[in-house]
Amino acid sequence: MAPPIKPKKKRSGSFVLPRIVKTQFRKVSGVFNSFMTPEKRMVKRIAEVSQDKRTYFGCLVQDYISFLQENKGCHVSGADMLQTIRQFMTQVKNYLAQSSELDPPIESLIPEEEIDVVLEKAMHKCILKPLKSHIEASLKDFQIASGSWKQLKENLLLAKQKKPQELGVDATAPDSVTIEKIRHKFVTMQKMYSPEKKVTLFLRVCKLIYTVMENNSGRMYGADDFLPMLTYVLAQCDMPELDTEIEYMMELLDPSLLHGEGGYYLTSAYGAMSLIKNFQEEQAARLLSSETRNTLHQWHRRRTTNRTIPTVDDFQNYLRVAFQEVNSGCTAKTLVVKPYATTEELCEVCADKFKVQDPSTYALFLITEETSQQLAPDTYPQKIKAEIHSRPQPLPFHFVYKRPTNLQICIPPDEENGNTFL
Amino acid sequence: MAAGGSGGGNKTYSFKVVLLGEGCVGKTSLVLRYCENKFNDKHITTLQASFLTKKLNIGGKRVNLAIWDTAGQERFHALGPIYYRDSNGAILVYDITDEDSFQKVKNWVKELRKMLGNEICLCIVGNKVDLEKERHVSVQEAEGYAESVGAKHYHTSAKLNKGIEELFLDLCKRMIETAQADERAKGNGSSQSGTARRGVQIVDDEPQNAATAGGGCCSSV
Repeated sequence: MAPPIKPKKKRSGSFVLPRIVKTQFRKVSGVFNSFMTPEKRMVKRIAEVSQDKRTYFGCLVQDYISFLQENKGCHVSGADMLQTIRQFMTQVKNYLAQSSELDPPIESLIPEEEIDVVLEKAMHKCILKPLKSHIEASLKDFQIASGSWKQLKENLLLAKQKKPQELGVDATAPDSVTIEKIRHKFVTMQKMYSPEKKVTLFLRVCKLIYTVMENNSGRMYGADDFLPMLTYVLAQCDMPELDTEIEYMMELLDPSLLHGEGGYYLTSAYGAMSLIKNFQEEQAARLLSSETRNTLHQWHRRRTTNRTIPTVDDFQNYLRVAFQEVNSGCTAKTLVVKPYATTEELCEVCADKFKVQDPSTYALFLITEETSQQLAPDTYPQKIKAEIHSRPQPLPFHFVYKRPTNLQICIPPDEENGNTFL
Repeated sequence: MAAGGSGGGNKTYSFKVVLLGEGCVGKTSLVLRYCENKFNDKHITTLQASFLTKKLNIGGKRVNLAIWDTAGQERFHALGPIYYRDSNGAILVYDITDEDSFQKVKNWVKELRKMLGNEICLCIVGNKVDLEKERHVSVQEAEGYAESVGAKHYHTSAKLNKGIEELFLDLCKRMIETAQADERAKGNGSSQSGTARRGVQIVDDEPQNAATAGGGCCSSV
């Protein structure tokens, strides 16, 4: 280990950098060095030392940066790359907190409880800033190589065409002007190298979305409403590069911040992006769901043509149907349902018995512990009941008359379960 | 390091609690009630209910709670793991008038136990007890089920502000116990790294942290 050399007040770092894009502020900052806050001075100092290869710390940082830039193939995935960078930053922070290489020592300028925050900022500056374009290019390469870039672009296009309601949105969505504003914020966000600053901007976007929702209703929203809305907004922005942006923030953000507000909304963005990425599959699942309904239909037709008559036990003329209302919960009634009464007919009975205003928005569901399946109008509830009863180990099940979630066909929790029922 | 047994007077526990349950069971109202509509002004997205924090003082121990709401609709079910990972506690809410929502809670319990084991403190919450007349999930069944899976059962009404304070207070006490047991098991020296991995962070207290939750929360353990 190199002995900590007291570095000279070098300007070389600042002389090299102006050739790259530099803000005016940065150019004059040296002049006003003495007016800077202790935090800024310390971050600047650390950034300077990080470029001085005569220091152990400078070697560590510069060698790592060149290593990453020259060895593109050393990571198996974008997440792998980001995680090793995060690890490196944390290790360097630990080293700096203990080493005597910094002059003046960090403790002399910064109160103890703020040291970590300052070191974190310094890491962003001396490691992420020079690596930003390399990281972005690598992330994109990984995306393209895996085919996920193309898939994301296609899915975004599909998702963008959907109306808010189709994505499960139940509040007022931002108009095109607001979407443009949000896009603009995202573009600004992309230019930043600090994950924390990116997160701050992202939170502003979330705030803006909430404001639109709230202004139109006056109420407060939880995740039930926010997540679909965020998905809609991300789809409308149609920026596939946001996927790697989110990955960048999630993996590089100081881990202690991941439990906080930033972590929560990043998680939601990650979730919304995954929904969009799998949009086609989700649609396929919906299609599958209607296919399974057809199967059910055919199966019943087969049963009908074969005239297999179920036993009396399984085939009483009574059927208990629960009525589920969004605001007032469940009530159940036992109804007389003939063996060959269709779901459509039963729905009419239910609409009458439960005094439903708009029967067309309700449907009959078969719900078991694992699945929730909307029944097609031409199926026979009593036969379905009989079929379940005739299984070796019948599972508990319920017929529920309710509004379909999102006014769409309900998807079983997962395909496998959905299919096993049928 | 915060020694679990020594009272830990000047340390703060940070816990993450995830809120799960079908849409419309009242998750949002529940947590809004609990946080008394008082929001942390440090947060950019204040005045909303998806992510909330609360500071408490329980028997001299300071607790920072971060409450993560999740979307309850079926189409978001697959996103569960990204929300509940690293949680110290989970609040599983159902609507007592809706048997369906109770089934959904059972599914979550199964999944959480499978993915996170017994490390996570589970609370099963029957909300809307103000609609007792329309109850469709029997108290006996719900409580029996909770016991069978090592969870605690609570009855709440967000509308009447009933049972909510107790629910969170109780959960916090259990999470502290779990964290302390964890610290003891790992030994004081390594407790920080050990617990940090599980998501509990013990951080130095800030002097202005004195703001605590009202009434019930200050009662001694």
